[in-house]
Amino acid sequence: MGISVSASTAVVFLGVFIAAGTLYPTVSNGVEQVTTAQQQQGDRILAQQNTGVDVTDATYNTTTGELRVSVTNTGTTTLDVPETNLFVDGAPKSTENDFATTVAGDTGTTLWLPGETLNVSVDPDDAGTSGETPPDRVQVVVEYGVSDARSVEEVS
Amino acid sequence: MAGASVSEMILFIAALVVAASVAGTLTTQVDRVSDSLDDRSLDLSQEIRTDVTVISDPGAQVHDRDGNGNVTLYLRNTGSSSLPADAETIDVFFDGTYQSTVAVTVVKPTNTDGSWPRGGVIELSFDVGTLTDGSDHRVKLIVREDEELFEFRK
Repeated sequence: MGISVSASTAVVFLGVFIAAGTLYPTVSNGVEQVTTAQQQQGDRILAQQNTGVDVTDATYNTTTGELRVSVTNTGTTTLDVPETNLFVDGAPKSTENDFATTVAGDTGTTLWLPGETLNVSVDPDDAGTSGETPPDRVQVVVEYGVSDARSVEEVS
Repeated sequence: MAGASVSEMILFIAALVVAASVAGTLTTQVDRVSDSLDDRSLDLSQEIRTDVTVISDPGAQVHDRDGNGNVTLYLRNTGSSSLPADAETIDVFFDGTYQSTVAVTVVKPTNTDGSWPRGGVIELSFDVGTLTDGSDHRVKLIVREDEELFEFRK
């Protein structure tokens, strides 16, 4: 009787050990995956809170058909110029593909540091949504979906 | 005496068989739970990494931009993982009605593989017919359990 109990207990324990050996790596990997994702989310939210832009000026020259937009990086994060989206009357334009950009007087840089002003100059053919119609509104969207909009002033 | 040994042997074998079946069932079930946990943690981490933002300008024209009765919205991938740019990824409700036909176009970057990378912008377009001037509308978007609400006036 004694050996039966011992032997069966040993078999059950062996099963428990095998089960624990299977479960532990899975739980550990799963927790690690979720924790990493949560850390990235936390970093993202922090960066989003630290990001801010202000469209300080938006003018449309009715003579040359040129739209000029000045945007200041009012946050504390460095932004990417190619990652910046410009919406003219709700139509998307990418600063990378369509527009001439200048950050603090430098046309070659793609970095937009805190406190610097990005000047976007729109080619006359690209202005507005239908040819040379003067645009009403511009909206600038930067990383993490932070955005600012402004009505366009007309100058001649 | 011999009878006692035989019955002890039978009891011993029976005990071992029961113990083995208990251990077998336990390991099989734990294996299943472990597989489910693996899948769930992968899903959960993808959900946490997913974040999209509606970047359309509510102050500009949203409805009927091209004269075909479509609502056009722009979405930016503000999460930390790439998403597939297809209508199956995104559930769209317009004024509480599920939109089954939604056209998805990648606006930026101009890639052709249909992916929607971090920082990328896609265009969503769906037909809602004619809307009354001055009426208020709301669009709810759900991407991998990340919900976004966009309100605009016609």
